[in-house]
Amino acid sequence: MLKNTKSQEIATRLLFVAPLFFLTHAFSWILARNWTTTLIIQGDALLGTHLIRLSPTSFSVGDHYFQVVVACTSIDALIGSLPLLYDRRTSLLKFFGFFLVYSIIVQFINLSRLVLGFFAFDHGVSWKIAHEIPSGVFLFIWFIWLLHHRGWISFTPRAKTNRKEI
Amino acid sequence: MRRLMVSLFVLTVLAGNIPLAIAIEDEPIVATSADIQTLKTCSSLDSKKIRVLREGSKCHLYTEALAIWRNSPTLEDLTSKFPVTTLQTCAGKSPAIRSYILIRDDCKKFHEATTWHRWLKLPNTPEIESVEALNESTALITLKPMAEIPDAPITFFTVTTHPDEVTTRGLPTEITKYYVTGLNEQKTYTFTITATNADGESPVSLESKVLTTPAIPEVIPAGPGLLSVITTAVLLLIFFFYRRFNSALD
Repeated sequence: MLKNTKSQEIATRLLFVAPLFFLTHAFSWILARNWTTTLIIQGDALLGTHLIRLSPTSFSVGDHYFQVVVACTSIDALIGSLPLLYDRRTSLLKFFGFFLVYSIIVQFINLSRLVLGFFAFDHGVSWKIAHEIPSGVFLFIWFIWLLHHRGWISFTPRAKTNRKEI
Repeated sequence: MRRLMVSLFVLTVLAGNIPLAIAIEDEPIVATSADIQTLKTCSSLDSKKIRVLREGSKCHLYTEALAIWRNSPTLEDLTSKFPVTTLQTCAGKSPAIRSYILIRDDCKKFHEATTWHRWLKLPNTPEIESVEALNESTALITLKPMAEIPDAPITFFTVTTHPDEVTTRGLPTEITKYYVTGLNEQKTYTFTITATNADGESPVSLESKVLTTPAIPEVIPAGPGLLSVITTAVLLLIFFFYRRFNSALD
């Protein structure tokens, strides 16, 4: 019964993820994309890779032109994760404080991933390996962390049940 | 008697402000910028109405043009082949910082009239040195440096794109570089340019060399693509399958 309630809760929360995710894409997030572009260019400049900015949200790496879209900023995933993250037992103010710190950490990881991805791409690594697969791994780790954070999955080994010896 | 004559002569000179010396022909009339007071005005490019420019303010973009007037002629002015135009302003007689706010034919009693003048001259015909396509929509026009026109500086350049006959206005960046945007990909263009100042528009430059814009490059969205989603899905499947497998073993 308890397990069913938990599954229902997760399912209900997951139902809210998709609408929020798509709602995020209804806006252009120009400022966030502009910042992301700036930080990618500056981050790669620190590594010695010089990306050429073409517009507030685009740049070139060699002969390849890249557009920083909403998904690059991780804002869609951040807002989409809200229903999974929200804890009814904590106050709203406390939750927003936590969400702020969580967003900063996620942004830092996301930007590091992008910077390293473009650095690798500039050094001859294919786009799929430099960006696409790391992006998938990042989303996977993020999702698993969310489940773990809410206590829906555990990494500690289960205590073995005492079996009656026959 | 001789002393009286000298005294009378000195008094006459001082009272009548008669010049004591006449400039010798070979001696240039020198006037430093500190000696010459200047007045800045904005001339309407349509009605040619003039307003005095206040300290720190600017002329209205593309509708007015800056003109600099001087209240003392220099040697260049006297020998210039360009026509000179004049302007009269009135200001309070106080020697403190003056505000030349009035432009009238006759000043009032408590006012002092000042006559200003400047050369009337259209900008020289701009010369296009080179054109270069920076991308599918932007071209860089490099101009040859233009002769300085101190009295009526260039207000803006007008670039006409042929064959579309689209005009854009602006001042060049880095003095001689002008960027034209809004071009179409894989199209052949030429450009002509004119310069405008308070006295009008310069003759049209010669057409630039032919320029062909490149094709729009394929822009890759830098967000997670289909492969990212597949990677996440596969990893989740492996993760949960492994956990189920482990719990089954328990």
